[in-house]
Amino acid sequence: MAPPTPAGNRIRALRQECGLTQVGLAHTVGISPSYLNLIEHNRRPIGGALLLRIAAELGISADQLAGREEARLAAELEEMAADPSLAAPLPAAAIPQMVGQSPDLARAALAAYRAYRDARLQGEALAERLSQDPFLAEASHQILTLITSIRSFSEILEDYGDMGDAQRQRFIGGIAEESRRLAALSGEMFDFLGGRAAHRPHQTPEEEVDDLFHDRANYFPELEDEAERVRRGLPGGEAGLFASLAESLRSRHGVAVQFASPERVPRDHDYDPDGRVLYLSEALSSSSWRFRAAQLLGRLEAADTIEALAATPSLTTDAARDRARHALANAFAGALLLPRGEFLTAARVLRYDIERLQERFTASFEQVCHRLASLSRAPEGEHGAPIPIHFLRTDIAGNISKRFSASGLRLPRYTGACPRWVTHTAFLTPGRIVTQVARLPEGGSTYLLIAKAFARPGGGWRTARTYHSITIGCDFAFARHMVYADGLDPAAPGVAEPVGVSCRQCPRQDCAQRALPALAVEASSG
Amino acid sequence: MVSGSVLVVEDERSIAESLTFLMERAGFAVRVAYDGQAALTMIERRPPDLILLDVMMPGCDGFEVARTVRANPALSAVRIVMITAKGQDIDRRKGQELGVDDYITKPFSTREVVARVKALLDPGTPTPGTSNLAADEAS
Repeated sequence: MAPPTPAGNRIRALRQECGLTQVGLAHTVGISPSYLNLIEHNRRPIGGALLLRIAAELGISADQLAGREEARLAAELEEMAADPSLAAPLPAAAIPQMVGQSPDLARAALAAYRAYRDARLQGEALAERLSQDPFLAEASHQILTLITSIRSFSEILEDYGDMGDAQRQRFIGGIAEESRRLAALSGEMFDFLGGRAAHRPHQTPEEEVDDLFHDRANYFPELEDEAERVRRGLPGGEAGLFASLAESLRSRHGVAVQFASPERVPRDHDYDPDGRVLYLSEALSSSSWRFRAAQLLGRLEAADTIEALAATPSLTTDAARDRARHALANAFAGALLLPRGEFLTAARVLRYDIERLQERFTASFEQVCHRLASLSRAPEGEHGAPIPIHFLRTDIAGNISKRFSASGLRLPRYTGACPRWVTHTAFLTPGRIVTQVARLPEGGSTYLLIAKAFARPGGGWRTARTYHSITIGCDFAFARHMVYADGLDPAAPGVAEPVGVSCRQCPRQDCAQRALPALAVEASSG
Repeated sequence: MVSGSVLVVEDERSIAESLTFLMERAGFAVRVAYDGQAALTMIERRPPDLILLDVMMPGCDGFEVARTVRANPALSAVRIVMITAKGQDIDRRKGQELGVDDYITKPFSTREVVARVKALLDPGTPTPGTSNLAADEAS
């Protein structure tokens, strides 16, 4: 933005408005007229006691005189102008003028914007809350219970014709009674859904794709089969998997793979479908080269499967379908590079030691973690049933950029995760794997969390680095399969750390790390 | 004729009543506990041959009961059939991890309940299909 009016100009203008001469004002505040002249021409800085005296003499606050309030207003308006959720954004160029000419209007606009932002955050938190609403959870449990009762009573009546009349009457009475309760409960459910759930905000493409992957538990057997087929057909052997992938791209699809400088491919990779060239940044690691090549091979070899999956009606826009195709090609690449059976067996044998798995499959930490989480729902094989594992990727500001929830631990969607999670503290020791036994409040489960924070490798001295933290974890009931749980006793004092999901949903009032008040939701079943 | 003792652990009275009826008609000696704590007391006093165990109970839940039973070597012969809710995959996997022998999903079929319990208590009886839990490899 343009700098706000300098304080000197303001002093000069106000002095003239008050009908004071330079000599008069200088005398009153105890400085020489020539020094005041230098100040008025912005050739001497002004602050401290002198600023206070001049401000008092001119009848305004020191903040106003120094332009501090203007600077703050301008900064906040810039933040508002950059908010993409505003339908009619404020042009940044108009800000200095708005602040200078009508500060009252600027203040009013900011007050409205803050109210809007708070309301939006609360709406998002409510939508998230609804997904684990205590009323809905309780109602589903009750419905299941009632249906189980009714089904049992009916089947007993059907199967045991020889029972006495009194007993028969009791079971028939039971069916009638449970049916009445079921009817009443359905009524309550519909009222509830009409009142609250109907206001589910419009979904973004990101949310639609997120939901698709969540509903499929991040596991697509169709893609696994395709990946297995493609892997079997790869030329060469295992000696150079990247070379095989590149050769397959060339011979089957006429695509050349070329390395390029990071300046040429700012997003690490770039596919030119017309020229049929895949450009890979030389700044990438070899595991990322493989991944990008496998991803493109997936887009070309498994196009029909990916297309069929992306055609699901739950994806409502082209942007969402595009995003889904990309994510599905990623899933294909994971399946190709870390083949299901082989990978799960190795995970079991190596006791989920992520670094050992990285070495065995020449894969990155993130690729291994991602694959472990997405295989949580894979069918049981010779490797045994996979452990249900969740996955979370955040940046250094705590923004969540990828989340799979298969372990039972709920991962926040809109707000930041609990500051007590090892996800965040991992940034204190970048590059090192850290673990945590985390206990959720109110009889919630205990989880084993494993996290590592790191700067993305590659790039030169002037490269702006990106920093991420990757966390995986499981319910502690499964922890004995993991090398990370060795010697950990969650029942021993001080081992399990009390955590929440996010501040908004956490009842721990005594938490010193609390950043936001818990969201009070009125008793919902009334 | 089968014989054996079954402890039904279920906080919902009507479901407990059905399960009791079914187990009695199948020829078992039946006791009922309406919460986890009561179940543990009864098990300690006189271990049953099999526990039909609901997961979701207030206070001490089914997992806690299973964990406690499996932690006691004297109770290693006690069979546990867990009753989980539909859609709660993670519960089934947790039960498997804790060493339960089989599981049933609500809303269950009464015929299936009887068949599964009989299969565990009297391996001679023909089983309608295999167990829900594939045996976990020795670990």
